[in-house]
Amino acid sequence: MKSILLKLFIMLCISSVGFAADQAITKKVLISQVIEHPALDATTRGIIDGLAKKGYKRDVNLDLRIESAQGNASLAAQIANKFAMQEPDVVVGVGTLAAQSFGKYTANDKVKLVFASVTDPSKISIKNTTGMSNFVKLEPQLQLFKKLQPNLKRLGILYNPGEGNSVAIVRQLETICPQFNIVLVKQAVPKTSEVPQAAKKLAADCDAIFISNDNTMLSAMQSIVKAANAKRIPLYVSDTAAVADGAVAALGPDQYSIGVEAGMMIAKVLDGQDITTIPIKFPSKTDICINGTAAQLSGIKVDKS
Amino acid sequence: MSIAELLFSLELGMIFGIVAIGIYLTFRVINFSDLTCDGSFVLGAAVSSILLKSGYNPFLALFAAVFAGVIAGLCTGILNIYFKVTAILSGILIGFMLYSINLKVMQGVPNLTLINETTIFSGYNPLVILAMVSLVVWFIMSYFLVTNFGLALRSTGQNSLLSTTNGVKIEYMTMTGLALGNACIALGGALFSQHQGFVDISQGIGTIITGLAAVMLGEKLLPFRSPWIMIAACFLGSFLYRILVSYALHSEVLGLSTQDLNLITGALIVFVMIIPTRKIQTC
Repeated sequence: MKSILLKLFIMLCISSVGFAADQAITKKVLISQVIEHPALDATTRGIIDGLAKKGYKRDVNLDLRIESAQGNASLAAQIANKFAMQEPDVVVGVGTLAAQSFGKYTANDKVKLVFASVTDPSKISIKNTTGMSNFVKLEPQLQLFKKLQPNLKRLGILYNPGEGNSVAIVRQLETICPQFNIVLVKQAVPKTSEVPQAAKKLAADCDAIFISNDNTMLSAMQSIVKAANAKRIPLYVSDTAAVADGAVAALGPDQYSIGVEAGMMIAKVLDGQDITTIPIKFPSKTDICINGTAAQLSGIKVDKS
Repeated sequence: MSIAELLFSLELGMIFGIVAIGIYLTFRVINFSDLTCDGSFVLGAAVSSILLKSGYNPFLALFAAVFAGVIAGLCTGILNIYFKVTAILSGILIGFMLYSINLKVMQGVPNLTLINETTIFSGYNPLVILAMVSLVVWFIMSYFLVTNFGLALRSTGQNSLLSTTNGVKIEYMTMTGLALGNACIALGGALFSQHQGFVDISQGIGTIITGLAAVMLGEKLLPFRSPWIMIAACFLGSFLYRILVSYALHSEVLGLSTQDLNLITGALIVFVMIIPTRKIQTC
């Protein structure tokens, strides 16, 4: 009896292996996301949809898994190690920290990395790596602000000094702003809970507030909208998706379309293209997005041009 | 779970084992609930990274990190002893202030890469290097705790009244314990950043949880009072913690997803904690 059961069990095992082989899952893509956050979640959704557009459908012919490091660096390291051992076709790092944790494995030719939502790609090792930055050129954005608000003199920026992405942007803004005759008023806020106070202080001191893809600030959007509305000054963002939340205008991509483009890059690698021939890309398609009601509230006239 | 993942857990286990020793020194040896660690972990990483970036020897960078940890610990001690701030609050305050200090040390950049720098791991197997560093730390710390001075240090945490009557200066002992503890944590941070090839300002989040869990797991597995074994238990507990995290990362077969990870890791730790063991043996 026992041996029959054993045989049955073995047969079951073999048959289940057979079934697994029947399915045409050919490629394996593993995504490590630095933290759960609306903007980054949108990027990851975009990656999945981008892959699907190129014919790699999740659970159909693509084995795709997502892990979140929950903002924890040592967890990101363990996830990267686990992924590297599973012999994936491509690993994806969403966010700087997640992408960096693959650095050791790309250097040993163990994995191929495609990153997304990294503002400063120089932070990531170049070997076996390509990806999609979320850096939006700052000059056109400032031009747009000037157009909407010709008397813009003092531009306030709220950012988290703990976010590499934001610090890089603030440093660039510091050099560019004088060309536009704009004084940059910086306000660092390390935590979402401190945003209301800082936003209120900043709103009293400048003609407009700008948030550039700062995850902390985007999480506390409503506090900033409130502060800006109270002083009747406009709030500008770089993520077009944030305009619906009460910002006046944005010139940029949304995080979702950055994900879609990254997904298409991953598909290229899956198709067999050499990863070294795929250059790191910056968002090409930028849209102007304007929120009429928010503009009226802050006294900005919008003409169609 | 593959062998490679097990070995990686061992590597991370050794790094965080050194952190656990730091936690053990403050929470257990001198009985001081020190929450400076989230800050001092990053401080060590920041100091070591910035020195590496300026071209200094990676071992020198480790020593500098240790020194920075000592200063952080002393600050907490000074707040507690001379300004009578409660233990928990002084730790939290220094840890909180260290966030800004760390940003200053990293020259305002919250994330530094060490891809092109020579670290203590370049060209060697990280497992071997970490084993050597861990052995050295284990020997120094254990030996220190069995000296007369170490005995006095341990006595302050066990029974401060008794040690005062025997002429032990509690203030100095608390300062020493805090300095040594945070030195270990900063060393762990420096090793982690060199191992991973980058330092991030948010790296210290959860250091206290990881460290305390490792200490408790170690105490559970090796219930002895000898410092030699207690320090080794920190490494063992930390290794076990990393294996549990590794297991939790494989929980997708159970239909669980990433946001359940903390829950699973926590549940596994609780499970290990409630396994009955024998009473503490004196030896």
